[in-house]
Amino acid sequence: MKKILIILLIFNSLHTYSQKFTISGYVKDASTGEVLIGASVYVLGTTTGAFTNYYGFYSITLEKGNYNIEYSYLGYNTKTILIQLSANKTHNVELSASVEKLETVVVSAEARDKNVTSVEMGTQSLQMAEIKNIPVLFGENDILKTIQLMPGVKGAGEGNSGFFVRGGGADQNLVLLDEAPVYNASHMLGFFSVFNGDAIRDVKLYKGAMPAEYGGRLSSVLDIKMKEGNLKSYHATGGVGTISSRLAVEGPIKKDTSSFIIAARRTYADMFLLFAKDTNLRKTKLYFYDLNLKTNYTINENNRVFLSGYFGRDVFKFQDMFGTDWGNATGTLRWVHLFNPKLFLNSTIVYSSFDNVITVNNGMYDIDLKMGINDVNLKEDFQWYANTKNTVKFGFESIYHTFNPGELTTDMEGVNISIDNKYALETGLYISNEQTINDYIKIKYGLRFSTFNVMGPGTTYTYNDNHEITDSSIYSGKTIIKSYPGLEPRFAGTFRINAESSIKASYTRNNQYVHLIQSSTVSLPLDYWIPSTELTPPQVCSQYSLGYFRNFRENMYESSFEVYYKNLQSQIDYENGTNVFLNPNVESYLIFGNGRSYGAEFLVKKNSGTLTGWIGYTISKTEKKFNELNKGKWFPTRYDRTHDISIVAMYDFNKRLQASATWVFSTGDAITFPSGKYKIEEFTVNHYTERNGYRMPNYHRADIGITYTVKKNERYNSNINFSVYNVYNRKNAYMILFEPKDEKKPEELQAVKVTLFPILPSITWNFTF
Amino acid sequence: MKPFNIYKITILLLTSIPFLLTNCEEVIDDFELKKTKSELVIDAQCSSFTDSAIVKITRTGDYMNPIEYPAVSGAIVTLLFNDTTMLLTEKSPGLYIATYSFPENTMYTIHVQYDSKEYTAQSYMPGKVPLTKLSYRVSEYSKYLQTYPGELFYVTKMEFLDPQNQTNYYRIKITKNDTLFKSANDLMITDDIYFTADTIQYEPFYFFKKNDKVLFEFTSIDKANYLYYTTLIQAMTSTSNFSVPDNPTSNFSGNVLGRFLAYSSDTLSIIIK
Repeated sequence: MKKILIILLIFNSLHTYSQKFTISGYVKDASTGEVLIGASVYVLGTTTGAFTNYYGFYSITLEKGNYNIEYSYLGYNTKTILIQLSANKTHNVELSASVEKLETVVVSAEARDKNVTSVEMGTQSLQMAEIKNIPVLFGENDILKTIQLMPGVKGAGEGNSGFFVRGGGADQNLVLLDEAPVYNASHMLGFFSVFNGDAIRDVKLYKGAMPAEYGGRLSSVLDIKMKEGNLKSYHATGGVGTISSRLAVEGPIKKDTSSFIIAARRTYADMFLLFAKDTNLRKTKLYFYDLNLKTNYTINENNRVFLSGYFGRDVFKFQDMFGTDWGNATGTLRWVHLFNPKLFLNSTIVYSSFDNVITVNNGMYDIDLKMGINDVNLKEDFQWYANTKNTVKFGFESIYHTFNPGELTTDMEGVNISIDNKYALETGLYISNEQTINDYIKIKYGLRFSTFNVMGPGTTYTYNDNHEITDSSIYSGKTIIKSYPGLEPRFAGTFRINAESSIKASYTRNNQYVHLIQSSTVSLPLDYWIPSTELTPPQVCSQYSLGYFRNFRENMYESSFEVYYKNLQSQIDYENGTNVFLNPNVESYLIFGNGRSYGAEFLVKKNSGTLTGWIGYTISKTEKKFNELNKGKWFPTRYDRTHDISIVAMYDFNKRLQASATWVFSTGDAITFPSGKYKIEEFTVNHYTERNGYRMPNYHRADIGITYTVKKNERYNSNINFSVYNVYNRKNAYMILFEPKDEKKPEELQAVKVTLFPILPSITWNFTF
Repeated sequence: MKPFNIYKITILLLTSIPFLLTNCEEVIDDFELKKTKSELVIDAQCSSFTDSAIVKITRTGDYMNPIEYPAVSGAIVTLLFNDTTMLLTEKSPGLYIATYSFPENTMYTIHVQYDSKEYTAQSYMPGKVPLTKLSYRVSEYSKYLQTYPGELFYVTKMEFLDPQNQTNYYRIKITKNDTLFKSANDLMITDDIYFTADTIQYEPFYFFKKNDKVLFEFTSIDKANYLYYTTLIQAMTSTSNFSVPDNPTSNFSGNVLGRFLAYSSDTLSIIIK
């Protein structure tokens, strides 16, 4: 490994004769002690600078001398410090939040001109403060729904937190919570995301140009970081809302050394059912809860340990007849170690699981169904600040997956179904370098070598065209059944035209080895994950993108224009008539095809002033092609919405009153409707001629929100948030049904649209003390 | 109860969650489907139970307002099995019939020649699997269903011996007081891959009242027709809104709608007292 690094850097090391020293350290929030990610560290009078990494760490190497170093972070007071550099130096800095919030309300977590200068493209960052201001359904602020307001990201439908990035599928997003993959990021069929805003620090979405340290999913990486807990003093944050309440407590275990945060949330939609007249309805349960926990301990300057976890469940019970209970659990143990000011190591052990239990009682029999997936993951990530021009990242990741596609137990005689668990070891080895060539050109290149090993114990089958098993091989113990190696090159480059504008380009290749078997176009907890096997090849995606980035008015406005083209291979669908549920031979029914997705994204964002917000527009097309479907012709995917607009505005009237509004518009979903019908036996059958050949009506909606601060002082802060979903009561079609016009003539039909949420006000009271 | 039902119930209940919250319906006046040309539909059956071969040839009709499904006259329909070739006669427009004591455990081939095109399908008629018992009992759901106090609802249970060492495909038809349950949800099919015993009992989710006459027809079909019915159910019940519907998978060659089904049946009936 070291050899490769040396080769990579050899042409940069020629000028390292003069004496050089490194200044490094952490940048933190003065009031909470939490590290600041992406804070700018800039050497005044030079072009040298750096951003703090994911752990708030920075490292800059300079020649011996005196320097004025400026530490800045949006929404915080800038600090300038004179450093006499004659030896390697550690300098930790604490920045305090700006007092005059009104003038400098800042919605981006990033440094001022990062939009233009960094090599990142296809990336969106959001700070919790921003997410909390945006009005949403039931007043539940939601990371995933806010992400949907970004260009290139489409939501799964009315009120839904599911998201699709640049034409990708629901299972092609890598959602990480403190580095643990979250397999089902939604509650209540997607109406809420599993991420409790009180426990989240910040969010970063990669739509393209994923850094080499991420892998395993085709279309995006959503990296969510939990709060670390206040190192200075105790605080409680909470809220009482229309359908849920939440409470978070944080504080130091030992001041400046160790802290914790615990956040909990529960909905009580079913409480209203208690008032129902129908006794059966009263016995219906419908709620979810989740719990976030994090603690950290600073051993010394060079060692810090974090432990974090998430646990959430959804419960739906219909009398004694039917119950389902599903959820995620994740745990992350992380050790951040500094070998020296230039070499940084992050070691992580991650556990993640998703499981679903369905119980049915039909009066005679009890039926229990369990399905799920769990992962144990070991990661080693190194960051080496080689010199001022090169920052190298390398490391590996190794995930052991256990898949349970379905296990049914019942007291019913003669029925017993269990699909064998499947096991797999997924590894990724990566190296990347971010290199500043000159004042104009910065590039980042990397390579990820991924391997997927299907492991024993297990039985593999071969099938004929009739889905009949023709042969099987039994593997016992931890033997490798099938191995898929894959090379995933990553490249991103920025050419800076001037101080305000730049052109960026990137190429990314991703392999995906785990696949979600979905029973419908909406995400249900019945969906289950399967690994790539001999019969199911990995999905592969190559993405090319090009962008123009420009900031205006001293970075008050930032704008970007990006175009992308994606080529997708081995996309999965099913043969007509496949029952994916509890089907031990489901693999023989899978069909594989190609996909292509291309589009242009336009974003203008205003970052400061009393009015902030953004306008995003996407024009795009996503199509798939399978020999077995639609007569082998290309067809649009369900979420291929040609036009997509979102406008988000936040306005500060005064220190107490803030208002926000959003408006979204999108082309209707592509959908398959019949073009005729006919008789077979006693049945009337629909005749379909074109897959996804129709469109739902266009969707648009406006939401508004007002936050009034009731009380604000050092010790106590409370506000009331009033929001209205669907202000002008647009009746967006959630479904289109065909119903008889007249009961007497059942053959004559009319189209009926079902709408879900009318104008819907909600109120939430939030507090912090 | 086939596990597949759990799946249906689960989907139904889960997808209904949003509606617990709120929803409303509204007619779309200006909604129009694409006009496509009418296509040929062949509904061909032959059975040892009815001792007949019936082939109905029609065309597809308009989806929103099918004034008619036009009958197709003048086709030449031939049925082949063992060494026999049989020409079906057109009894009324579009209805082609032959009467014969068709043997079971036999492969049948049908040829339809129309408008200088030929359509062919094969179907295997499996041996009949007898129903061994039909019984009934009071349902525990009576207390939820009753329209007046004390009213009882009954469920029926059928039993049969599933032949071992082969895969069987079945369809169950239920008739109450001489009326067949014939909505898309009444199309009950099963294979036997989940059956681990040879005696199989099945209690379908249908409620009956006192004095109802219940008839079970237990039909044995081949794999291609099992697939046809599976895909037919999906084509009929899928609302497009949560899935991508497709046409049923036909066993006909020559790109035509419909299918050819050879089947055997056994029946049992009972009166609830």
